Amino acid sequence: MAQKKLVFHSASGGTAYAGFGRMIIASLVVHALVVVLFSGIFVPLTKKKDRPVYYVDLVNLPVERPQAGRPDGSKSEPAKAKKAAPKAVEPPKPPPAKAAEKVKLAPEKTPAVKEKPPAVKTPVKKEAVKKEAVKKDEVKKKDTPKVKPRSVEKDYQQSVLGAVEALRAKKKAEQAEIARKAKIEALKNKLAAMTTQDSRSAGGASDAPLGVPDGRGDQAGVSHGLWLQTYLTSNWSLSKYQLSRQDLEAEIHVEYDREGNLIRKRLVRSSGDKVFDRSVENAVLKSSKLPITFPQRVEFDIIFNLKDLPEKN
Amino acid sequence: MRCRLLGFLVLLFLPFSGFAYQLEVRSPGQQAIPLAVTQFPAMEGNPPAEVAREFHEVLSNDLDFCGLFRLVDPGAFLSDAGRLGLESRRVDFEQWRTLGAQALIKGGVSLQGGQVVIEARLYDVLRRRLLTGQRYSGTAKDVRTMAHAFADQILKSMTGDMGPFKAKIAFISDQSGRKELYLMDVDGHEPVRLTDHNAIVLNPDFSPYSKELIFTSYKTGTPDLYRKEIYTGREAKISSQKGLNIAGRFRGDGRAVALTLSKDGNAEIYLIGTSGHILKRLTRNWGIDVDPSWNPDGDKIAFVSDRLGNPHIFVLDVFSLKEERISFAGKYNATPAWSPKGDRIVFSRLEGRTFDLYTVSPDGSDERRLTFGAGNKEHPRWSPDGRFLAYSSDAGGKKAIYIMRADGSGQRRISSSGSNCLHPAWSPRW
Repeated sequence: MAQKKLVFHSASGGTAYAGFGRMIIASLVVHALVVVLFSGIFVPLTKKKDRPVYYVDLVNLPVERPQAGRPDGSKSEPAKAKKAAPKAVEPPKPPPAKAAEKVKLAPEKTPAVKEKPPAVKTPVKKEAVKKEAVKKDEVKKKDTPKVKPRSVEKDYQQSVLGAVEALRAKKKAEQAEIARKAKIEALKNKLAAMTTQDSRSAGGASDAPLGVPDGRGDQAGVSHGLWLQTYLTSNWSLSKYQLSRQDLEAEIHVEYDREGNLIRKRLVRSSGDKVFDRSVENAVLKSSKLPITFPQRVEFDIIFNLKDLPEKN
Repeated sequence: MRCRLLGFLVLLFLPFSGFAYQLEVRSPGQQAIPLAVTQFPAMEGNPPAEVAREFHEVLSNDLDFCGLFRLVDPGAFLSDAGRLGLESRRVDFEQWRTLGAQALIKGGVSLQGGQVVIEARLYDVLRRRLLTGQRYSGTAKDVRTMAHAFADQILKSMTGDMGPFKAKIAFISDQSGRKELYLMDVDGHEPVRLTDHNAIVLNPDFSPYSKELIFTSYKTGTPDLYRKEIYTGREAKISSQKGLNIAGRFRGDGRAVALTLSKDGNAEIYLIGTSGHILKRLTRNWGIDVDPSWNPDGDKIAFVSDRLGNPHIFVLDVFSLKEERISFAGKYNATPAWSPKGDRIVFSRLEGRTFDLYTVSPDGSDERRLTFGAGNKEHPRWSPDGRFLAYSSDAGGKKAIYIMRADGSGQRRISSSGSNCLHPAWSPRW
């Protein structure tokens, strides 16, 4: 049986088979897929930018969901707990215990007392508005079950409703203020973490809470990666008197199991200097049993260089 | 079709396999290697305890000076410190790792037929393996030299470059009442007088290959250049031109010497052969040109000239005779010395009332001050590996020989007190 073949005649007089065309299309599709896959939509691209260096207190063990803050920051409660803190500190006057109790109770009562006058004022000021207000109040009654309109006097009713309305508005404003303050606080923490790239140049402890600059969690602590970075730094011994140059850099790939045991290490990129490479491998060997655990088996690509080493004469 | 689908899936999940977090470690946390140096136990022949003690002391001293190590406190040593441990399988590395040591020195001493034999080992504690091992034998008097030799070997193992501790330092001392030439160990021990000219002797320099020195002496009343073989004691005058024959410096190949002659009235730098015949006049200027120092390639010299007013450092191309000024500050810049690696030139400069040491790149850039504080620091000379500098200083009253690291740290006096010592010269590896 004669096979049917699609034959394309090219301009140059040559011929090409339909299979070749399909191959080109398949190739294009595959290339397009590769481009899409590596464009960062599915996998974040690895950026080898000059990252800031943070120095972690190794006493603070890493957490799974670090909050926004600085790795050398003051130890603080997670964000939620922190919100409550300002209220507890608020009491303005130290005097007797009874007075303090009164002050504590006051916030609940005062709005009602204070809001009364404006509530009373409104009906006095604009009579025309009253009627409209009454109409609206009828609709709002459903939302405010606590406030039961009494059929005593219309003015009184309106004034009560006005007071409730004012109370509601105030509560909303208060809530908005609290949310705003919390947002500012979070931003401050983030800013404190980001502005000082190097804790040594910051000259001591900061006001920022313990966390990581890009932390989105709610736990006071640092990430596992940041902790390991500091642990490796402390385990890396290399004297400047061993170095012929200072522009050395080596990359090593390590794998740790959940218990923090080194299960694999591989020198990915040599510095070209045997002494430097040996010191880097020694740092990893010294870190073969970590005092922390990981949520799962983890892999790290670690670059060792001398960017922060003071230059030798 | 199945294969295609499989291929597609492999391609799809390829980026997800082996995802690794990126970390960057930008400087070592410990900038000194924790090293444990044990005292060597006796192996056989009942050697005197003094031998092991002296070896330990000299070795520790050298290793401490080089700045590379942080010596682990011997008080913390555990049971393995007392064991011989000449083979890695007989060393309890876990004990040393617990102490934080990363390198370990062990060994043993024996007395065999009147000869002291020292077996020394350097171990990598983390990798549990031998880095270097040496066996030395000699008389009890050679123990210090053995320790210096092993220190050099350790530096080679840890850095790739041999150390300079087994070398010697020549210097001028007025201990006898006259300035004469002496030779001592790098740590200042065992000074030996080499000349008995009963006149002023100055400015020694070592031949790069043979164990001989050149120096200027007023033995016959005029400053002439002499050479002296250290072991045979043979001495000869090699340049006695009219006027000055001073500050001779061997070229790197040992076949020529640059020095200052004033035979034509003005002090100029010349190139002469080792027998004293003039090969070439290198400078031609109305100013005084002195103190030449060769670069390692032997094609340039650094020297001092006052042709522009105050004495400054210049670099001269020996072939093209092109000159370039490289120092610009200070009232008086003197005695340049080109480093063995060729990357720096050290010199002394008068700032205010004292001389201090500076280094500069051969192109005149990147000048750095090395010394501070009281006392004039002068006549700097490099160790053969370029790690250290020897110089003279009058910080303690009389002039004395000091050594320090090339970055100015670790300064220590090595010559004994009681006399003026100056003009040090560090020998090549002995």
